[in-house]
Amino acid sequence: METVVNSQPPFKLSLRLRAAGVLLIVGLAIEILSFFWIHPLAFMGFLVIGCAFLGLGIVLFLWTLVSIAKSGPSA
Amino acid sequence: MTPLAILVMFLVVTIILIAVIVAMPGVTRTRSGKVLGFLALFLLPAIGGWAGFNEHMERSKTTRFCLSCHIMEPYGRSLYVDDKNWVPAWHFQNNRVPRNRACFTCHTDYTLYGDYKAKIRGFHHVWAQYVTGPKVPIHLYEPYNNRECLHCHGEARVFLENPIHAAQIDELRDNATSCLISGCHDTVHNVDHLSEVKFWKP
Repeated sequence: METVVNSQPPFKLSLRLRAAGVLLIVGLAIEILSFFWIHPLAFMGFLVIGCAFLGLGIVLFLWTLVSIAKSGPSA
Repeated sequence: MTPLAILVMFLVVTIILIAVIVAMPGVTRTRSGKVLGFLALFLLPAIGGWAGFNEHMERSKTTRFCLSCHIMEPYGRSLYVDDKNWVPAWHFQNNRVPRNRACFTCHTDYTLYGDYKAKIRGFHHVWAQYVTGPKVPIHLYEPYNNRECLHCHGEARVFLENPIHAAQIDELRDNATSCLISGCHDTVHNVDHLSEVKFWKP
């Protein structure tokens, strides 16, 4: 049986998870689009825009985890 | 199924998992939901990003990639010159370099970080192409290093047994005598003379 740790994710946590998710989806979508074009600009677009979204999404997710750990499970 | 197709499928599955978290962040309440969140919001995107970077690095080594910029067009045409004295053309036409990686094979540094150094230079090329404008005629950053020739030829029997090479092998290895500009193999891309030559039609 699943163990329920929190009764409900706090609003702030949900918001951050959603924001991280949206950033990651945009980053991955840019990555997929960049594969359709063999050109230096496709590489640059992936590296500068796609990776920026991916990096921000991952950092936001990790920051969310750290902030939960700091403030406790009921935060 | 090609590696690229597998990578795209992996990315699509990752996007779907992330979309589940975005649509229902409440799933992260349970332990398995937390594992799903960690996979979808950290591990899979990180793997996908790294795999995408590697895919782009490999693509950037292809001849098609290098010749996709207009300024490189004559250099691409020079690979089809029907004259064995044209060093790049002779290598390209006789598969001395892989045809789909012809540019990169000769224009990378065969050192530990040579590939990355070449790609960092590539960023400068993009900047020059779209922002500052390329300096025509384009030229190498530094004189062509014999190391790049000797990477393939250095231990070849036909190279070592050649009396001219054997007589100055140390100078060649030390880069004291250039393979290209010492007068022996000096016909390279010569893009200014393409109107005067015959072309090979494969």
